[in-house]
Amino acid sequence: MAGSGFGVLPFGWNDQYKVPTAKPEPAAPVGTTSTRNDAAPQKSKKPQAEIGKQQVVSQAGDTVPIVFCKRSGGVGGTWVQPPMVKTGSIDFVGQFLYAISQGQMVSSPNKLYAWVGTSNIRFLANTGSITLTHYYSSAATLEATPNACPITSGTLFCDLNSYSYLQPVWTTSGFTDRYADYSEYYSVLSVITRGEGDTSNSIITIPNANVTVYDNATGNDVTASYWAYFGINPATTSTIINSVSPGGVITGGQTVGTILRFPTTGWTAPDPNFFTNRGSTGPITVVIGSGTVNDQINPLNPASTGTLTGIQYENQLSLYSDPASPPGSADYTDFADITFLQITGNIYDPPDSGSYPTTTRQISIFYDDGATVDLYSGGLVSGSYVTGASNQFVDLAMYLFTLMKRASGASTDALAAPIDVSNLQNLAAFCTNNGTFFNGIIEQSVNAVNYISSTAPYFLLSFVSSNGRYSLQPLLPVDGSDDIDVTALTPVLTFTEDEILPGSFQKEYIDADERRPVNISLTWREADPLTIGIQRTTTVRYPGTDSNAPTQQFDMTDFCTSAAHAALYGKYELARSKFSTHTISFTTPLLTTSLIPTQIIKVQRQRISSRGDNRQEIEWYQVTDVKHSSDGITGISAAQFPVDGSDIAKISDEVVNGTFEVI
Amino acid sequence: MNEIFVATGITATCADGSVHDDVVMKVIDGVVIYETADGKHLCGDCCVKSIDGATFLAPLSYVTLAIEQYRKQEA
Repeated sequence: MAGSGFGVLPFGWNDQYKVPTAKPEPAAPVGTTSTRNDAAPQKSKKPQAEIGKQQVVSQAGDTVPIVFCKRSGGVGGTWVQPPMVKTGSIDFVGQFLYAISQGQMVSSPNKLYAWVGTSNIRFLANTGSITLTHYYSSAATLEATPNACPITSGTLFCDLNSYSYLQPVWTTSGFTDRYADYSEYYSVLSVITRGEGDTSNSIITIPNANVTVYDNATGNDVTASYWAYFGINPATTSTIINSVSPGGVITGGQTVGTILRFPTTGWTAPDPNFFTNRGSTGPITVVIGSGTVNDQINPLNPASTGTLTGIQYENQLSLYSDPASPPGSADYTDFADITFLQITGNIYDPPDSGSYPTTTRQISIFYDDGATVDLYSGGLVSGSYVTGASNQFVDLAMYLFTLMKRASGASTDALAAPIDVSNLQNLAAFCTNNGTFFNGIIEQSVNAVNYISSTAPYFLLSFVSSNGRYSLQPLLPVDGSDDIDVTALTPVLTFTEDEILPGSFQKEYIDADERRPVNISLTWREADPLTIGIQRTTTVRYPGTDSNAPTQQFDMTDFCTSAAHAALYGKYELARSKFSTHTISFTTPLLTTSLIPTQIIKVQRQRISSRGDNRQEIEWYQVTDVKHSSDGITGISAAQFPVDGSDIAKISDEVVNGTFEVI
Repeated sequence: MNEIFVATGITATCADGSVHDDVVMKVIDGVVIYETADGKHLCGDCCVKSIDGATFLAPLSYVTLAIEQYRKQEA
């Protein structure tokens, strides 16, 4: 039918008329597992709505967060929901290790400010036996002694192969004991009696004929060779658990909570032939069948009045005879410059009847003061920067560059710094005057420049690149007291027709749709040490704006803990949208002055009309971009920054003195 | 002194073929001992080779470790 004009699409039809079609599923990005893992909401270190969720466990490759905060005047600090990096059990007391922050935390952990799930640890029934301890070693310390584990509790260890754990309870129904690798590991086995009430005359008897031994690697039943190797006749022997047997005579049962340790002191050394001796190619699983409870094993004493649930094993394992003294070849430098929190105590989930959970709910903990940083905000003191916690954005910015080894508080050579540090003290004062502080967590791996650039505006700052260096500049002009300047401005430069290259001037108006009256919704986070930080919203709008007008939302939950801070930024957004209607760009002969973004310029142009009513246009702008090119010209982009008849910036004045509805 | 009773009521057969009833097995300061009712330690020529009729009082993994330890002592 080709060429008949029927049923044949014209040539090129597909190019002219796109037919909507389903698209195949895109291929998954490669090498982003850790990034996606960090970004998963359920792994966020910021408090989530479901505070009673199960404890988040970290895995290799996760990002250690930066807790950056300082509580001042009852404002600030931050809540953290840290991931658990290791857990263990020593003498049936839970040991839990959490990664809190890069750097050394200033605040010590406080039970009153710590929650496990929905329970405040200070008010748990066993609070007296629970301890919270920070551990930290600097990079320099670990560089000098790589095998010096910062976790010096003696109950949890840096080494991946030094660990402890609880096994399920061995009840009358039986027990499956998956043996640790006793051919390589030093070991300790502890046993605790589980039950309720009086069990002092209760034992459980299991015929050894009910025991089956499996080779984990092959799945083969090696029971016969197991017993044969030890010369034990399973048909005539039995195992009794929970007995009290002084002198080898069973006189009763252990009471609930009694712990027996095997061996009583020290560790059992590994035996390379441990499994082969037992007829197995490697580690084994011993399945123990059902047994029988006898609540009056000693007829001379009355029967137990309580219930013996069974016994529970606790295994401690290590490749070293003393895990607290690892060999010189051990290297724990991965643990450098991280503050860890260890909680010792039983914070396990509450047991149901007869159950002994080994899981916990999510830890939430409040810190007044976060990681120690160089306080550029305080300026040089006797030639160096003081260190401490901070809530100043400028200190955070410098800390990020410090982590990248691009800055160092110990080296105050300003010329070598990638950031101009000369104005940081003033900017900190500007932020203090405005009440804009950073109290939060950086929980994902971020590009420092992108992060600082994106976050700075919320502090009415701009991160700019000028003259080969980065610098932070205020988004609004600042007066001599580091306040928003609401007095008459003087432009840094004035451009007239003489300075603007002919034909280069362009003006672009902002879409009217973007300038409609809106509600600015700003999310932030409460920082009350007595209440786990919930997310809050503050809405700012001009009087008369409908509540159902379009809403623009800004997420400040990463760092903002004050409604006033959120409202200030909302006011700035509204004022900017109201008064700044257009942007301009033009080129000028090469500028040798140090004009940088955020500075205020004035542009005077002659508007020539065919009717002869020429007039001069004068407008004020805030520079947004300056580009110098090799052909000897400078390109300038700027946004309208109008002033009133007294040369007072309208945006600044509106932010400071304007009338807004803040809800 | 650290003493753990590992098994009781053992009918132990020694290397020399002798059989002993009512033997207890215990670990004293890391040393494994088979002790008869009259206080005799089974070792040397009467090294225990097999066990019948016993009641184990310790975890099975520890019982077997004790037996291996005993064999090392007797080797």
